[in-house]
Amino acid sequence: MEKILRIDMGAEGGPKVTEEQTGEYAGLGGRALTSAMVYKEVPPLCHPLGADNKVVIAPGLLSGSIAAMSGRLSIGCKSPLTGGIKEANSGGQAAQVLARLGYAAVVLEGKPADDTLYRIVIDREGVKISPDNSLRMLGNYDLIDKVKGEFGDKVACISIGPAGEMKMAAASIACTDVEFRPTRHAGRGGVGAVMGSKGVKLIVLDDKGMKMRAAKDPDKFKAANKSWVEGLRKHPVTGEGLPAYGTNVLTNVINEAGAYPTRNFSEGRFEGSAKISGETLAETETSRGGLATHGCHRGCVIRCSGTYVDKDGNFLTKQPEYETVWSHGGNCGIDDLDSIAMLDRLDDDFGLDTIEMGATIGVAMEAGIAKFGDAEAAINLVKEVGKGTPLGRILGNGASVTGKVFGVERVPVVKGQSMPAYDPRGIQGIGVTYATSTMGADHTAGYAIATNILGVGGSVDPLKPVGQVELSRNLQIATAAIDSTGMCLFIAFAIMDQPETFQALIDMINSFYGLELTADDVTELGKSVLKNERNFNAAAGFTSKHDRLPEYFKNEALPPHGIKFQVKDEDLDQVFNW
Amino acid sequence: MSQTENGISKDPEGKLILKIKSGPSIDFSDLFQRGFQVVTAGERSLKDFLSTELGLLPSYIDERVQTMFLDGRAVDDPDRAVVSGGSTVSLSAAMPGLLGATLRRGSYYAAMRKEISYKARSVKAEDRNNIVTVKLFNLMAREIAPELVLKGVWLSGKDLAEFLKGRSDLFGPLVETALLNGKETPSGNLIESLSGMERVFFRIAE
Repeated sequence: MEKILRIDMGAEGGPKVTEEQTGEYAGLGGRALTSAMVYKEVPPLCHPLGADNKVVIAPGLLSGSIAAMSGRLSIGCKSPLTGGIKEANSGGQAAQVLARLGYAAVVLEGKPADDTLYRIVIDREGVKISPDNSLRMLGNYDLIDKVKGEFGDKVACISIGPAGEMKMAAASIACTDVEFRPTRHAGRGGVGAVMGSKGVKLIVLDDKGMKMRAAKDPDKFKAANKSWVEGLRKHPVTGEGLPAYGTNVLTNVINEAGAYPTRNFSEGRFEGSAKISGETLAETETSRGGLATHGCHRGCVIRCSGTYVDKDGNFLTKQPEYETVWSHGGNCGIDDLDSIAMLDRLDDDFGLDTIEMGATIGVAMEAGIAKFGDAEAAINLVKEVGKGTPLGRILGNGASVTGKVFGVERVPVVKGQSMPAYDPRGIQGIGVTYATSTMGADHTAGYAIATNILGVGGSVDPLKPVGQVELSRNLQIATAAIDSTGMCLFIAFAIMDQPETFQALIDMINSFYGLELTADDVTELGKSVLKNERNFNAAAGFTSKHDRLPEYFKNEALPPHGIKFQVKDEDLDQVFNW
Repeated sequence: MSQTENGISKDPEGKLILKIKSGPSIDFSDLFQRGFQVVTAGERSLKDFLSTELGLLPSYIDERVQTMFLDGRAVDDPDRAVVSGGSTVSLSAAMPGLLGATLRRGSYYAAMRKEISYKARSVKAEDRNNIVTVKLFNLMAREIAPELVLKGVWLSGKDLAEFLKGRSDLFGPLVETALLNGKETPSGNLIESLSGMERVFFRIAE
């Protein structure tokens, strides 16, 4: 991955392709690379839909190799939803294929003079960019069907749906999965709108004739990967819980904890949770002939995904994730899995972030646009978005805009981005991360890596009640590092419990690149990523006042435990003091 | 006293025995996510309760039950958490992600959820009853439920009715007979009867 491909969509005479060496960006991948490039090259005060913004698409350091779990793709830009820096992350096949084509990043720059839509094809011969307005307003599913007819199903695709073309702030970028369906999404922050503003509808990646990326020390790499896979397989979360039930295994547990945001974050427990739990979902899928165990990219050994079929056994959507089941389920008072699956399908087809859409519909329900629990109404609202009606355009721009338009006070956003499926009053540490993350309200920004393994912030006695601020800081650093490797974040549990598995990851990086990194180096990488992101946001106008939850979380007690958000502002301001 | 009308039982409490044919078994684990009831007396530690009432070995509790709640609060030390009548106990395997790690018993990240962590509190005598509700989630249900249904458990009639209604295609292939309050009962009448019952003692006979 020694090349960066730059495509200037606004060049005189038509899109212009430049290929260069990684240069100053050598050794970076995934989020480390996208955040470095956005920080260095995107003016923080630019309009997110303007010519100066860039879309940086980067596989991880180990993508395209035989390393298990290495198929995550990072997509970075200035976000039209938050106005700050954004890294959105997706599974699927794109990262593997792009890495094997030798690209550390593809960068979309500039802006076309008119509204021509383009498709880009990248293969071992080079890059072809062609106008193709026949793709206009195609849903992602029809788009991929069309691609299949022309290219077959062994390529990988990156695309936007109608939402991205309409430049909606909740628009996602889709990546095709192992079955060549557009089910994996870089969802958060409106990255699809930025791709749409560049006039790019579709990127086809064809690695035919290319080989797996080879390690500098193949024997050590193979041994490290073997240890890595063994560690993932033997751990009860990655080896059993996730493959059996998927991420929706969390529904019953978070609900029991009283931290399951229900009906627009008004309560912490949903009476319909058992009907939409991971247990019920897995049984529904298998009894109808779907799959409860499935990998979203080749090389995944955790296999937390699945396929959801309708009552007649026909494919409807991929197994909805916990976040989607919550956002379209409990957050909207809906307890019907078939309806939730349909909403997931529509989000994927129109190219929308399921978290933002579910939170937005929750706000719309609070505004009285629909009733809580009315699944049919929710489906119709998402269809309005896909059609681009005036109501649809409001909803498609997210919860914050919708709340403003309809005069709703209780809008669960930070820096304009909707909160995910954990109420910060129940689990206050996640509230610290929501408030302070560079990404806006984000649950994956501060993920689980044992800080005693990484040695972040010095040695911490695990028996003492370490403050939530310190934990959030350490987790955000560790996550930034992991996001740079291209690894799926679900490795986190196995790494936390099994030091030998974390060492296997470091050994893989070292043997692949011929390095001698230590855990401290991984920590420094995480810190440098966060530093770039914080600096960008500061230059874009963000201050400590933006690192806050909406006021009502401090004033409104959450049933059933009756708790308010209690972390003080001055403590939130300490998160990035290291 | 047993009351029936057109074969539909009108009793508030019942006893259901399903005689299962040999061969593939029914997965009852989904039923246990809603909770079953244990009749108990006095107070004891959560660990003791799990050993005595569910028959769980201490090693199983220590190694497999990685997430536990008592009255909706995350438990870190089952030896010190106190179960009494009126309590709700929920058990889960290790959960994924940050939130899963945070809720895990004895978690390094427990500080992130200290406001919902279990703390011992006294319960007034007049607020107690003698029923403990136990919920089993994910792998806990898969691993523990099979033995429980052979011994027999008390369940909400409504929950049991809903569970069986969703699996009515199993009657015939897998269920030989359904004895409700000692009488053989066809599936249609069975489900309607169970819906009206507050509590049902449910057991599988092989």
